[in-house]
Amino acid sequence: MRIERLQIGGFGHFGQSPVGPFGPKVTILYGPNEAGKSTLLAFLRTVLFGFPRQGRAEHYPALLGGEHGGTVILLDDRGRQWSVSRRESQRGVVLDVVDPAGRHDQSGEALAALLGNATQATFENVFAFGLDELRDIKRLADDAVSAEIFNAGMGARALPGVLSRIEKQQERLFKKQGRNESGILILGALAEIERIDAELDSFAGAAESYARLTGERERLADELACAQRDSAALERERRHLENLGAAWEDWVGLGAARTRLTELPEVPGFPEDALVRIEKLEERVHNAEKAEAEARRLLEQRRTEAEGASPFEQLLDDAAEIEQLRRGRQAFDSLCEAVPNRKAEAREGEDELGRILRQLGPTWDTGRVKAFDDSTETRAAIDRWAQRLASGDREQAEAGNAFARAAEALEAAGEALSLARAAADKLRKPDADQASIARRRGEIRQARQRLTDWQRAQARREDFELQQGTRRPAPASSERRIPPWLAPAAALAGAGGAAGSALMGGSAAVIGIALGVVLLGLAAVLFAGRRAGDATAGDREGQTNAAQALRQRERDLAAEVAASAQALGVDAYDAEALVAMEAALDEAAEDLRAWEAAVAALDTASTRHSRLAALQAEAATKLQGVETAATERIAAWKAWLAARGLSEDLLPGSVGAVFAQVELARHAISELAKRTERLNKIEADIGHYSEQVRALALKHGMDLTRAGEAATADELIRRFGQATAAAARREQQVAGVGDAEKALAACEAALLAARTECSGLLHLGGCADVEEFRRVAREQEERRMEAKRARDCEERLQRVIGPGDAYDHLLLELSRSDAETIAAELARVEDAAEETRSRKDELIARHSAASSEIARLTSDDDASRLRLQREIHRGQLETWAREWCVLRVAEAVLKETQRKYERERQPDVVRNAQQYFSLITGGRYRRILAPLGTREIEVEDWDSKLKKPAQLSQGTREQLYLALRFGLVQHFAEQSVRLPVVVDDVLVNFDPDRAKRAARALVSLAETTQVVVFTCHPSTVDHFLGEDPGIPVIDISRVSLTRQLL
Amino acid sequence: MTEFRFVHAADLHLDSPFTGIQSVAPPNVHARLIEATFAAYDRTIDLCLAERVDALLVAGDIYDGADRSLKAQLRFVQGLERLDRAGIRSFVCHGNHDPLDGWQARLRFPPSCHQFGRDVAAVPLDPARPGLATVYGVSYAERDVRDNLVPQFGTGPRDGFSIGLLHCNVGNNPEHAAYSPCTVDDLRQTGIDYWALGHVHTRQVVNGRGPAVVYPGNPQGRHPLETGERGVYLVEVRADSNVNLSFHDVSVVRWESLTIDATGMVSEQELVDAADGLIADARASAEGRDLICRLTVAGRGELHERLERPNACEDLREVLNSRWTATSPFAWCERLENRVRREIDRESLRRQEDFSGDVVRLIDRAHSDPELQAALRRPLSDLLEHKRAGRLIDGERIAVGDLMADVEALCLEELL
Repeated sequence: MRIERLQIGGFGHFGQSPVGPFGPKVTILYGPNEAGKSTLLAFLRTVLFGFPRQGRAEHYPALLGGEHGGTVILLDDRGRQWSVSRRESQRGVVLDVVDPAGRHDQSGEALAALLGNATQATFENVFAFGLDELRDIKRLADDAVSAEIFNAGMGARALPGVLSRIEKQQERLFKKQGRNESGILILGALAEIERIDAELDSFAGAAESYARLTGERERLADELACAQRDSAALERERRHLENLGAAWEDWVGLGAARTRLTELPEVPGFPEDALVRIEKLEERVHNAEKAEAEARRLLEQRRTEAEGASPFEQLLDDAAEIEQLRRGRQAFDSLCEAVPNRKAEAREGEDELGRILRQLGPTWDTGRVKAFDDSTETRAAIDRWAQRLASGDREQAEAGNAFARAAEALEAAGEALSLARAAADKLRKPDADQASIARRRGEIRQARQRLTDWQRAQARREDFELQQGTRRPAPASSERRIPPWLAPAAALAGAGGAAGSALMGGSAAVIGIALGVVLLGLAAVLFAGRRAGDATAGDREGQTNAAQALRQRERDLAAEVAASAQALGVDAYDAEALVAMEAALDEAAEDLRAWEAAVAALDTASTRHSRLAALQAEAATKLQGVETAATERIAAWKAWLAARGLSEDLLPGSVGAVFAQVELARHAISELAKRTERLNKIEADIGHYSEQVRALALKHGMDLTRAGEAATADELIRRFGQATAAAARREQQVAGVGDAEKALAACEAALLAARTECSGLLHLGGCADVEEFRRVAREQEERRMEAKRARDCEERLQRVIGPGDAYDHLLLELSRSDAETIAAELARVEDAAEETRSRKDELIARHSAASSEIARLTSDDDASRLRLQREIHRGQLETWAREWCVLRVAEAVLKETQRKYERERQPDVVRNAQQYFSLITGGRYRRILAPLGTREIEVEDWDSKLKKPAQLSQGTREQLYLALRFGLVQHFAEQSVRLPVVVDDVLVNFDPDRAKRAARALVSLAETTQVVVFTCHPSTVDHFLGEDPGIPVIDISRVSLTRQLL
Repeated sequence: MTEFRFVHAADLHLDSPFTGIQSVAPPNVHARLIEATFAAYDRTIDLCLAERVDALLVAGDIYDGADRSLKAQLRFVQGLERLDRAGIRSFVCHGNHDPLDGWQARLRFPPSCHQFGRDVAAVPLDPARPGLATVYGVSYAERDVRDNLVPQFGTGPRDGFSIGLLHCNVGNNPEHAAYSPCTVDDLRQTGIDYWALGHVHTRQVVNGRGPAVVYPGNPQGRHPLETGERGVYLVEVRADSNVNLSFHDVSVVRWESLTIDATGMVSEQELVDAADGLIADARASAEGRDLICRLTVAGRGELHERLERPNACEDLREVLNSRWTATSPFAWCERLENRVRREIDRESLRRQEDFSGDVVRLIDRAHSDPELQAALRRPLSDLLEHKRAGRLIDGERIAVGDLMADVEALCLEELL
């Protein structure tokens, strides 16, 4: 399959553009950078294999309009034409393939068949590639490079990664070796199953345990019943002994109580609670006696106090004056304390005023301060002066700055002018001008064209002669005998002779006419013979004519070459000479451009310098005017100050400071007056209070001079208070004497009543005094307690045993026993009961354990749970085992396929590739080696040394990759996958010799597969044309104009 | 007119674990699975009592002797004691899972129960009605009984209606081990009227009459493949010796295998919705039983890559289970298997002269090339012959040919 032509609808900056026709073998698409080579390559890939899945609209959008996409016209191996269109529309991408019979197919199946089922990846990696692809490979590590080359052909670029992933997945599931089983699923499941199996083994003896435990439980139940009977008997005995023990104390107490009752006499009618009652009455008499004594003491005290008097009672006459002293006492202290502070304040005010006046100056005093004019009008006038002076200063500064900038710019322009002049002086004016250079360039271009045409004509002529040289027959004998020019010459002579004789007339005319007729006859005979010769050597003559035409064409072109040489001023030239001329011309053009630039720069600098000099003069004039105006303004300001008695050195801003000082001085004068007045007022108040104190002290005989006014006032106030309190107390005691007398009478009556009641109680008990009454009362109380004790003992004994015969039997049994015997017997029975209880508890525990174990055996879900868990693990194990097997077989399939490839396909690829590699490198490298089972490539040089790609230079490495692709292309061609090879400037890194050889390799490859070469280098075009001048070259910068250089 | 009735059960596998489950069940499901075989047996006893049948016949594999479950045997006897108290007789024979030489607890069976021994014995169905029917039966003396036991039953004629109780494989069913293999003709020649068989877990009436040859299947499915109804047959024997069979589903947990065609689906939500619908339908069909399902997502399309992401299937299963396991009755998805494949034109791929084409062609060859199969199987020995794993993994069940579809899918997934 090969490309016939492209019809672009809209793709990048191509719109409605035909490209082609392409040659059957090599076609060159030539164009400078940005002419659209990459766009055309992308167009080809897009139409044949589709738009990218994402960003379709952005994939070389149709910038010049038209439908996005286009058509590629293809010819199949039988030369039949196919049309493949792929366009993007609103409905999406539409593929339309028209076969030679005019049938349409939009499914892509026909296209896939036409492309030999090659994938896009295969096409782009092997058939259509540019320098970028080669350089991408170059950047990879050595192993990866080799794998890339192989896998590009295999369609398994990701194979190493695939195998690695599969291996990792296997190891996640199962690993035959390795001590660490954690995280390996199958081994983990195995371990879990084995653990569960071991645990399940513990359930193996369940049935035996069940039978044994059932029998044991029955035996234990019998023993337990026996133990329970023993325990009940011992319990009854223990209770009886406990009753005896509990009754023993009561039995003893009953006997003792009865004995004591017989010893104590009984006093009938003795009052109840006698001891308590006599105690209470005695206490009552005692309390009444104490109350009567206290009432008597109080009465005496009040009578004494009612008769006393105070030593300061005379002060009560001056109560109002002393009250006034008391109220003013605290204020008096405060005033005395404040006097020093107030005096200090007054002194500070005087100092402050003096300081301010000194700051204002020696001519300033209080009077001038008060008379100073600081009115609003004066302040406004100062503000106006301040604005006027500031405005003048700014104007003066701006004028000064403008003058400085102008001077600086002028200096810089002067330096630039000097530099430009120096640069222009260095350059010599070139001899050539733009027109002569352009003319010379046209002559060189024409000379190259004529030279190429002449060389091609020469080659064609030589080919033609070479083809004709072996089969050209020897010329006929008649041709050797009769020169071809003889017949026409005879005819001309005959006709001329006849015509001349006729003009001369006479016999000579007759003879001349006769001779002319003879000569014409001879000419006719010769023509007839010549035609016969032509008829037999017609082909030969045509070939001769063609050869002559070729030679003539060659001569004409040689003359044109000579004319070009003459125009160029040389005797002869070749391609290299033209390149040298072009280089010299480029150098002259560069010199001319530099000279023109220097002259233009000098003009510009000179103009600028003149303009800046004028600007500096203007700035100087302006500055002088501004300075004069400033001098006048300052003189007027000083006159204004002098008129107000102020210093001429003051500025408007500093006048404000004088105004502020005057303000301060006025404030200090006012403050000093206030402080003096306050001090005078305090001293007057102190004097008034002292006078009051002195008057009272004198009246009541107190010594004022020794104690001072304050202490004297305090003593007067204290004495007045004491006199007032004494008078109040005396009045109160006089009123309380009557109450005390009444209280004493009541206490005496209560004492009498208590003593009477006590006597009555003694009489009731038949006793003479209190001590006897107490003794009898204690005997009667003891008797009552013993009687109660006897009753309690009897009640408890009856409660323990119960009434009737049992009670009597108990009393009898108690009378025959003793406490020690009962306690010993009880201890014996309790020990026996404890022993029986322990035995019973043990039996119960064993019975319960057996029952629990039986219940566990019959209902425990542990084994069931474990078995289920085991099956779950086993299910997982089987799943994982199958997954592992799938991975393992997949790995085996991939490796087997890999081996098959390496065994059956790779040798062809490598063999083909090494032929190309040897051709490109001129035999320097003879072999390419790809050891089986490895992913490496090695090359063998002419000296039988093996090298890896990394050891090759960049260019040679690219040549190796190019050769490998050629090998793959040839391999695919043998598999009936013949796709055009499209290369995009892949020879640029090759030296000229290897570039020529690479071009030769591509021309050779084109014998089996169409080759399309994109390039922007004329030298690349020359390399291919050098191999085959008939190769069509399409200038893609003018894709609408197809030209073929023949 | 009905002469008598009995319930025919088999393959109780009491307390045997559910097999083939591949994920850990939540606690309520776990507890249900442990109890399920007992519950199904209890429902069988309930059926006998409710229908007041004359007898219960159990045709072997009552429990798995290898499990040594005392609980299974006790619960079995307890069920028989319930029948005994109701005056219902029981007849039991043992099969390959509970042979006579296997582990058995020393338990007292009720007097109305007859356990058949290693030799064929004939026992009247009802001693009170001699001549009504006779039960003939035999138990496996050992696990591996590969001989045909049917000839031991002798040939007719027989008094009254005759019932044969046997654990065997009729017609060499390849899905079950060939224990006591026999044919329908073998059974016919004995002159027995009704063959109450066990061993095949899927219910099956092998022969309708003359004689009736019946497998009731197991009363509780215990494996993802034991789907659908599971139970026992209630057999009515009429006076003319014709039998009428009615199947009773006594299982408490229903297994179902559900498949979703994900072709055309583009999101996980669509898949979840479809799965919800399927599970809801299956749960409704289970008639109040708990449901355990295995979900297979098949077809081709976009979902393939989404489900291939790590834990994607497990996450989806969790989503489904979070909805369904808390319900009553519950539905639990024990596995969600991704069988969705990418859209691949295999035929086109096979024609390609590149590595992928070579892979497809090699896989095609592996289906018919024994040598290639052997070569591909060789690397599996690391696992299948592993001293620990080899004990538990049945290597014979892993055939290279069965793996190739998954192998191809994996290779092409990775390569393309």
